[in-house]
Amino acid sequence: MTDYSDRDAQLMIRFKDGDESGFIELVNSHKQRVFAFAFRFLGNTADAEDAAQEVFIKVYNAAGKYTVKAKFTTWLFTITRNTCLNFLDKRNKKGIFVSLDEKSDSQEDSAGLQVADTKDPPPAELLMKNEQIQAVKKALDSLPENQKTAVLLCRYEELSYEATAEIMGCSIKAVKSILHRAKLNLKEKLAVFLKF
Amino acid sequence: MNCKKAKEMSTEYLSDDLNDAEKAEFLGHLKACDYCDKEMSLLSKSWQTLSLYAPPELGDEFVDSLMAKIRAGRAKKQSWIFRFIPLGFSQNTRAALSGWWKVPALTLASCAIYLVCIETGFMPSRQFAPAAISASQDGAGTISSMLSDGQETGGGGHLLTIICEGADK
Repeated sequence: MTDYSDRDAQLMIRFKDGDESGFIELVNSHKQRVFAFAFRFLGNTADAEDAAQEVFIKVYNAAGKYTVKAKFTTWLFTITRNTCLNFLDKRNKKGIFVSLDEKSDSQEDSAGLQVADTKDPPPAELLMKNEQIQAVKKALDSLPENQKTAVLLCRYEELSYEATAEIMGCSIKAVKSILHRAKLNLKEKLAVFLKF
Repeated sequence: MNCKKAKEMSTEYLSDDLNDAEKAEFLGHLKACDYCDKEMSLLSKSWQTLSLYAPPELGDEFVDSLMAKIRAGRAKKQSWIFRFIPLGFSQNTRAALSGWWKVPALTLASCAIYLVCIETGFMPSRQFAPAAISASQDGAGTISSMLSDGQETGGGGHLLTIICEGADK
């Protein structure tokens, strides 16, 4: 069934019919979400930006074959997830292993920098917050891929179980079970920081 | 309800997936069990703490750089095949035709025609290619004079005869 009520799908159809401004509007609407997913998945800004660009290039090239089957965001995040997995594969094949400690030393990619830029709390509080952010990052990175994906989609992108199941290629029941395990894992890993 | 069951329900409670009866039963257990109450509080806090991990904002140059990449990729794809498409076509038609090899049916058809040509001797196969080249060199003058005389009809036949004669030599 064709669902033209999805505004993004309409933009995609517009682009398919030759109007490039439809594509640019789509990119502007979704670039931050795609980048955010890639950033949390891959753990650094440079890779996340490259991955986000690759996602939109794939969308651009697939326009000719595009049909409105599912919600546009479901399709977009399926591409985003696959692209991020390819990036991880490439990284592993090249033998690039960045330890979590190294990553947390990187000022550019430190999520704590975001906090410092936007707020101005006392240094002790800032330090504590930065530690918590690094702990969250480590905890997320330590999750198995499917648990991490489920958390990113359901918790951060606020997608439904149905959409998440479609993106991950499994049942809704499986998504719930994966999320259950992810939540318990995260609780264990973050417990040290949360007990204070 | 026991603690094991409460643990199973804790994540569903967090996602607001429990019905009213289940919720009441679960909350009743938390009131009665200190351990599960603390575990639930920890679970809830850890889920909330995830919000702290925020990505940086993407710069405005993202779209420009993306469009530049797309155009560069498109130009690169077209460049090699573009040359073989007659100049008489418009730029758009040439761009559209340059993707013919992506259509499996057309690719298969062209391969089939090529094989048939080789099998029937309509085209010089690799085996006869050097002879054909020398023949074409021998007959170069004849061909050019044929073309300049405007003998386009049947020119292909003459050309083949010359090439075949060259191959026989």
